[in-house]
Amino acid sequence: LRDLYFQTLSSVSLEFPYWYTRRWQQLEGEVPVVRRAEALKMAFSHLTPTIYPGERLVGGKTIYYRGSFPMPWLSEGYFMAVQDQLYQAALEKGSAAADQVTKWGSGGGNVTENFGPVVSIAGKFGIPRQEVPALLELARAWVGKSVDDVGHKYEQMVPGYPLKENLMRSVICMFDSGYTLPQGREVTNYYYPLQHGLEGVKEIARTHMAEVAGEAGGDGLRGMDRLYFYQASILVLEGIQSWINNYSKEARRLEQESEELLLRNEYGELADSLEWIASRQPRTFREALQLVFLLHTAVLNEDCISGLSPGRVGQILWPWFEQDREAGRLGEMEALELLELYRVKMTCYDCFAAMGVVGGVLSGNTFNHLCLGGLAKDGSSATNPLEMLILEAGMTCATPQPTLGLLYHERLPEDLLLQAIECNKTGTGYPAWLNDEVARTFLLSQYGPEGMDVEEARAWSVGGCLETSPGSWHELTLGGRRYWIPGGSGQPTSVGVHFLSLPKILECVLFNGRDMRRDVQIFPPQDRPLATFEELWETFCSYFEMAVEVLCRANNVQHDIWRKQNMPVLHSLLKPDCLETGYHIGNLGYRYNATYNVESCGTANLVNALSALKASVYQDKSHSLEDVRQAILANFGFQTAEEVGSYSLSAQVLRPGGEVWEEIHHDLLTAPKYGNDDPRADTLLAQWEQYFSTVARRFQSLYGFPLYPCQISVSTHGPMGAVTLAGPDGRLAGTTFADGSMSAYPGTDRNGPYALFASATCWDHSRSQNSQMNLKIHPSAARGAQGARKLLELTRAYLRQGAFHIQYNIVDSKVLKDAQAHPENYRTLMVRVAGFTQYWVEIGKAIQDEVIARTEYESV
Amino acid sequence: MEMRHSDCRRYVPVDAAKGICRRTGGVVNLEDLPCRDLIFLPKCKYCASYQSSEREELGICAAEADHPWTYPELVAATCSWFLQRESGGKTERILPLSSAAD
Repeated sequence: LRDLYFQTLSSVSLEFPYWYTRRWQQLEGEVPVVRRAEALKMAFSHLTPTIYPGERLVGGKTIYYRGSFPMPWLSEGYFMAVQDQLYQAALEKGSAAADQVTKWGSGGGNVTENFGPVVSIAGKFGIPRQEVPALLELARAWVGKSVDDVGHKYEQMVPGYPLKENLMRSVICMFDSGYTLPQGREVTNYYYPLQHGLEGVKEIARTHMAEVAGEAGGDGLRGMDRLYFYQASILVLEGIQSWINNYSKEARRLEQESEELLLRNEYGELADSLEWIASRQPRTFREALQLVFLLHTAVLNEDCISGLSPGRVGQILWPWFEQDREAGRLGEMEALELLELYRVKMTCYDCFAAMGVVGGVLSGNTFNHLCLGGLAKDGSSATNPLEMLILEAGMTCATPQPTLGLLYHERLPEDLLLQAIECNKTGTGYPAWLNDEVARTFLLSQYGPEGMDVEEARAWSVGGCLETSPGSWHELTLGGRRYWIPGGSGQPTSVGVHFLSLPKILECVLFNGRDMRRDVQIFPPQDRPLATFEELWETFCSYFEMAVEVLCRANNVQHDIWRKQNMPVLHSLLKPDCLETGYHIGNLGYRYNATYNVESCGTANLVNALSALKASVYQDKSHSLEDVRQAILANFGFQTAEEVGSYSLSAQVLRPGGEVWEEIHHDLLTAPKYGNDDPRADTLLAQWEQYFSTVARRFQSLYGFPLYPCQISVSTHGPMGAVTLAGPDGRLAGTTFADGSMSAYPGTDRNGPYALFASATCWDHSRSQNSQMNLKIHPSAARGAQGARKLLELTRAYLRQGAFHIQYNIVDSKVLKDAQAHPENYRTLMVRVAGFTQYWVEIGKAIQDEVIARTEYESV
Repeated sequence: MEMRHSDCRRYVPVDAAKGICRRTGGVVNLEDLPCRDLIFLPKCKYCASYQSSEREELGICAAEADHPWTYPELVAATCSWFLQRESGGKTERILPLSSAAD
């Protein structure tokens, strides 16, 4: 089934959006949340169930193996913009694609060009040629009505709105928030269906519905909405039950059609378990795993989501695993096989969003983060034997999803830690190592005002690639025993203000608010001489705050339209406390709502640039600011990355006569840099982090809660680097920024990993939702038991200094260079990009170059 | 109406271009001609309620009062309104998987 994935193309099916739109159009005038639920029910109950030969875990977003679909009710602008091109492609059988082949990873399952019966959409997704007219008909149905269109109408009323448009066009900010991926980077929750069964959850909704119908409950604003939410919940649950029943009927049909006894038994077993979990509490580990996978899939179909994390699956499903093992119902090999099948099914998830989103920032990844370890409700170590099996499946069936994270604390057993190191050594890039205590400190400071206490903070897990996300405990009863299981209880994160390019903002400071690449005035000219470093820093801060202000207000409008028109019903009722209170997510039904944040990109390059300017221009005055400006415009005498066709520093080519800039380039490159335990640079990191964690909290989300910093890069460091001129740190035009936030810029960390760790921990990581440290280690450095022990000690050393996160690419750069030249030989090669692992052949070149260029530690 | 692999119930759709034939277990292309053992897969284009429109790629579904548009390739395996249109004028009701609209 994993090999089938390698042959599969990312494909678009229209079933879901067709039936959703058809039902929505029939219900003009209905209460919005009920109209949405009716449309969701019709869509779920009309999905064609496909069961692939050999599957024992079934279900998918669409009729295809790796299928997804557009949601024009969120945004249809892309299709309207390219409708002629799509029509033309639909008519021309087998012709080449549009002139610009995407900058996607050209290999793997991406459909980068039209061919035969398939038309390429956004350079990634394939759709059967004859369905293109229906796709465009669906898009037209939502023109002027989508969250994008309605949100856009009102966001333009935000003062200073033109600045927002310019920030987007100059890629100082990368992508809007309200309609692109409005949910995700959060942890979902399976508790209610796992405890009560779907029929039981419907019963709870019915009971509450009777209690609240016609009652304001003391809340004149939201109270009356509760009736409609409960009605909507029942409708959506009926749709999900119908969808699961369609799978059981298909399994029953295949049972009757199969001649082989083994196949008949397998399909029969499948049909029995699906019929059962369509309404009741699962009886076995297999049924529980099947139910949580189907629920996860259903939530991904309800809205456009990346980074929907299952949380601590090993602890959530422990009750079934433990009781099955005791009763002799489940062998270890069978459990391992089910966990491997779960990995393949999760890897088949594709997220359909516009290319700028899926291609530019996500590299096609869907960031389902499964966490291990951490603390139980009573503060004891939460791990269990099932988590060892989950790590083993991550090695025996290496796939990008789910990515794994280990919530590290000092009481985790040594065998789990060494198993995690062995998993790292396979080169998959997971598990990431996360500091449990730092996370809990952050959570209590951010969600304490909403009632989070020490015990509840222990239930956390990671949202998307690295977003610390709040959780809660629920008591689950099974087979007469009681268990406390964790689950997500917070709103989406990494929404609010998406990735801000710090080096590009500094570039605007140097050129009086102008983007010299586009030759457009972005920020109001400051007309300041920048005579002192303090003046330079003040100007940077004022531009940064202008950007956050206008983006925050515009995205608040978009999210507000999203919660009014496109509120999740299923993902509301699954998470505490919507089912109890009757308030959906848009009515603050989740327990924790202070989740919106400000994302940054290019931290290391900003710090290095400030350090070089401080040393060369303001302290030893070897160069004037005007010298630096001219050197930047001349790209230090080098060709641009676009001209060279490579985005990494090491591959750049000097222009004839470029030597005139050699001296200033040398001085700026050799100025104190981050990552070497050099206070001259590290104090600037501390200054930035102190400022960022304070200023972010001055801004408010649409829910009235303070924002906070989120410091990951995902893959924005590629496209953002591509539009940024050379920098005062010596970086050349178009080349990729440093990844993550605590990773050093390739080649500038010269004093070994422990010096890098000292630099990275010069500030309090609990003041931010996260920090991200990617380290590339040559396989020889971690070889054997001793190598594993050293890598574990290296990890401990960093986390014990108060760091939040570290993860490893254990790979040889020579292998990566060969894989870039011969992708066909490396279909299964995976690398750790940022907070996620992705197939090498499906990553864009800019990110490939950057991973190759990262400093490779030969010893630890 | 020319039949293809993707019109057969034994065709397991893998992606927009190809699928697996349950009878042979092999990978087949969506547009290739099927074998004689084709088992009928309900699709809108074969439904008695389907009315083609002036635009070949879209049609009308007369099963619901408001006559919504639809498209011929839409699989109707879970549609309770599906009624196979027979060339001899007699319409035969194939019970689909779901009772979606009940």
